[in-house]
Amino acid sequence: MACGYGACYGCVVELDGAYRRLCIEGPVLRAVA
Amino acid sequence: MTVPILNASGCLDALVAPDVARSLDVFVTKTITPEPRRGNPPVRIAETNHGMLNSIGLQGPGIDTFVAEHLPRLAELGTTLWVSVGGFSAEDFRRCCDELEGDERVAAIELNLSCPNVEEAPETAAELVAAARATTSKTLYAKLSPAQWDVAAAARAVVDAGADGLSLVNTIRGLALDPATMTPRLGLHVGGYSGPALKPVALACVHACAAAVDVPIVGMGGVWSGLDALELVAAGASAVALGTVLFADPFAPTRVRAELGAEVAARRHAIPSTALKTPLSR
Repeated sequence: MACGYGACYGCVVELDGAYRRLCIEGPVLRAVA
Repeated sequence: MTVPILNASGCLDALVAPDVARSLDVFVTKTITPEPRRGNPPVRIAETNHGMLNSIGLQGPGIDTFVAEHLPRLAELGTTLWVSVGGFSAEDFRRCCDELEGDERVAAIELNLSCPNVEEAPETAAELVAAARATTSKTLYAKLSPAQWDVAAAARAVVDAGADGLSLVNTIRGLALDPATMTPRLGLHVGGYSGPALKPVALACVHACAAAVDVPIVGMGGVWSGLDALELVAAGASAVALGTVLFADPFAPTRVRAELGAEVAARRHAIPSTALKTPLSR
């Protein structure tokens, strides 16, 4: 994670075919939408 | 001497950090492509001893969504706005520039001709600039890669093709290995190297291009302090952009501006007078 506030898109994880930013859409995400 | 402070494209999202964007003289967007892009598979970031590698891969909403949804909110910031555009062909650059033509919210367009994390267009940088120039009357900055033997020749070519200024430099391709497994740390193995280690590379490119062409140069690459910024100005830049430092210090624009002022004051007449010889926008 580079910026930690949603700017760099460095921390993404793939969920349902889309990349989600762990820093602002996480840190806890549903594994299945 | 006033040196405008910008952000390097992709290193700041003004919509999630508006106060940081307002502390800049110009906000430059993350590179926008004609179509939406998922970007590269993770892992996308690797920290190294003297910088970092990124492999984002131009993730973004595409130009139509950008203009419809992002641009109105960015315009409300009140900061001068440059839009970085990219693509994989001259037609991609033409299309992005066409979407922005006549839009008074956009002060200038930066042409990302040098992303190290995606495939290159088949056309030369000059041909991509020419395609953009034929489409828009806006100020065009060409962002060049430091990974070429004769960057001054590239600078001459893009200026001859219609670029009004240069953004120097983009990241340079690098590789980091996991010390335990000796395998690449990034998902696509290589990424763009940025941070303090890039500064001498940036200085060399700015120095070479300032001697080759007579257009304003936005210098960037490893700037962490006001002294770093002053070095770029001394090498020939008329504005300075902050990149990786923004990830570590969101207050960097205000800090670097103050430090730069102090560095200039300490030297007074010993500073080259290259700063602001040409306005940043037409």
